Amino acid sequence: MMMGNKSDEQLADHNASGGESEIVYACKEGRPVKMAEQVATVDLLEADSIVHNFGSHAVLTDIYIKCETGKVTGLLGRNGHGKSTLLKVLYGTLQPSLKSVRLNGQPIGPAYLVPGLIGYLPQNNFCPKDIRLKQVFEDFELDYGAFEKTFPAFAAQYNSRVKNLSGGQQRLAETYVLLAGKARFVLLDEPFTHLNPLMVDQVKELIRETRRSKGILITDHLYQHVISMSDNLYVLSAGKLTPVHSQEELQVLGYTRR
Amino acid sequence: MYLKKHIPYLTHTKPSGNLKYFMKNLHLLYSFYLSYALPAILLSICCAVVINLAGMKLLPLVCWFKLITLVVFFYFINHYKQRELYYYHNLGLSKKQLWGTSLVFDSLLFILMITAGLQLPSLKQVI
Repeated sequence: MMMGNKSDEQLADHNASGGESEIVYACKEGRPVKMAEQVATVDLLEADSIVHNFGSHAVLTDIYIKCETGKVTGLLGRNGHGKSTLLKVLYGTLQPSLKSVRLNGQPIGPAYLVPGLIGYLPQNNFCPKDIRLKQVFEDFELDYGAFEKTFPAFAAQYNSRVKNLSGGQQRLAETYVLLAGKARFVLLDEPFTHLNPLMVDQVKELIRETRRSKGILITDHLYQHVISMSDNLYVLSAGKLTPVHSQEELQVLGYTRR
Repeated sequence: MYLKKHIPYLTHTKPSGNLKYFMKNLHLLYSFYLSYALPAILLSICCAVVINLAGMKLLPLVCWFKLITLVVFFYFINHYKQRELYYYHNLGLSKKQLWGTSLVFDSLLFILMITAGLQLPSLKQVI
């Protein structure tokens, strides 16, 4: 399909209207590029000036976080220090007293309402219990065959209801649909919960593969795994987010023992 | 507008064709409605039966009853099934869209049943 020299606006309209085929185009320096080339496009999601209180307790006060496509950003912090709250603020489902969330420098509203921008894996399993795995993959427009190939244990689960899967299988399937889905940024809140060591390795491999085209923000108490995968690492403590560059800094910040 | 102009590939989740996009959202909204459809429809049927037996005089009471039960469903699902809402959020649907559409649909169903309850012959005579 020839696109000619269409302007950015025209291309955006072309994408929005669906165009003539499934092939999706982006704009780069005024020319159309296919999705395969999109990997080279770097997007930056940033948040700062976040203030959020639970009653009189200030949970988030001094925050600056950035998440870039092509990189994994790790977020560590003790229980109750506001990691999940920060992820919900970034995702857009929680409105704090004050916030500034920007995409490539431009302020955005609730990020989850921007099609294809962000996916969020909450702490607990999120798929409705009564729907079938088949339906989940159809809703996220993913190929179950590819999933089955990567995770052969799911070969007989295509028609299974989500509630009939084990906790680990549910977690794995949910993590997969978000990572393999179309969102440019994925926020993973404790993705290793309920997973056995083998599954943890598989999820880590999946994250490594998908990081090329996505920005991934991950938080988990299995901090060694988070550290091993992260390009940038932050520790959230007493409402303040601090960039960390070494294991020693984790000790200084009181996240690990001296 | 900025997003559409400068990062147009973000629209790539929108399938090729508005109808397909609309149908997918409709299916998701239906799937959400199913999470409380059974008790909601059963209550509407009960209300229609009451109206059929007692006539128009109980209409305000029945309407208030239906409204209160909808508020209960709203709080129950937002509280106990909050995490399942993330499934729909991850597919681009907001809480307003989910509740707005499903509550309007359920209310229309309720009005339809009440109208049927008034129009159909009284169950007293049938029994």
